[in-house]
Amino acid sequence: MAVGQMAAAREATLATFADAVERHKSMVFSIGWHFLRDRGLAEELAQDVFVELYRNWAGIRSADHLLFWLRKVSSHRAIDLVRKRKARPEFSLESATEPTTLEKMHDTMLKSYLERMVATLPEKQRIAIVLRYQEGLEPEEISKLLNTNVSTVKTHLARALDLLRAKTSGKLQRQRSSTGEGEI
Amino acid sequence: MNGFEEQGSDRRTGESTGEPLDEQLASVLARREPPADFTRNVLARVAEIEVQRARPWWKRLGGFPVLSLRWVPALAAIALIAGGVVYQEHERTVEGLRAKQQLLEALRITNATLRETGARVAQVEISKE
Repeated sequence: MAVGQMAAAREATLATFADAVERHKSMVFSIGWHFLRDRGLAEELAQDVFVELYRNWAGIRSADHLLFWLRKVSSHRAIDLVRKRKARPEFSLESATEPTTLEKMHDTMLKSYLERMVATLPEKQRIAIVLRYQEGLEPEEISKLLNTNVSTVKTHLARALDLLRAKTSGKLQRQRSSTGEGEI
Repeated sequence: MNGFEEQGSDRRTGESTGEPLDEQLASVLARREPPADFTRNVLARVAEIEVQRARPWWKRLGGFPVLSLRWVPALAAIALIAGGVVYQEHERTVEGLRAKQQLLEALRITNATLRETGARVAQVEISKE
């Protein structure tokens, strides 16, 4: 191939790659953000994922494959990062206290509380919850991304939801009654 | 590879069963936008990779001044020491193999002698009877 043709091909690749970054950056960044709860780390992780994507660009076969690849690599890298840096927040979900009356049931506060609760879940439960609710994936799809059984994913999701429900049920009840939706 | 179009599989709605927790989770875990300069930063890193790839292999050695004459004696010394170490290792391996061969030969001889002696003893026993 002539030098001019090679340059043109490279330019085309870069343009397609840039388009893919633009299209999927919020997904990759959000997996990092929701998992790590650290904006800087999430950005670093997302950049690393896209750089790795560029190195493996020739192996991407379709739009679906690209999406699968990005979700998979982002999830695994997020877990690896937490294990390496011990970035898990200091307090545990079990030890987290119910909000006091001082923390009135404002929606923003509830969301913030829930975010913190998600961030304290064990790694596997946390990534399952992120993929389930951020990406709207079914347990079967999550199991493929995490290289694990569907039943294991279902267990992770159920345990995580039980923990979150236990910690937030009071808040949610109070919020519903305050907004006139009645008891749950 | 062609450009990748958005397809139906990219679901980001966050399923909700109507349960308050489900709704809250779907809302809390909605996608967020990275910083505005994100794509530019990624492309800058990719450009660095391209620059690295375009450089000849000897220049990719972290800018090591291969052709600088002042490094020649140091490199020669390193090569000499490395060569010496490799040669010593080789000698030690050869020595070990030789010792192993000798040991095996000695064992073989001992075994043959024992067998021969055993046969003679058996013969003497038979002749006594």
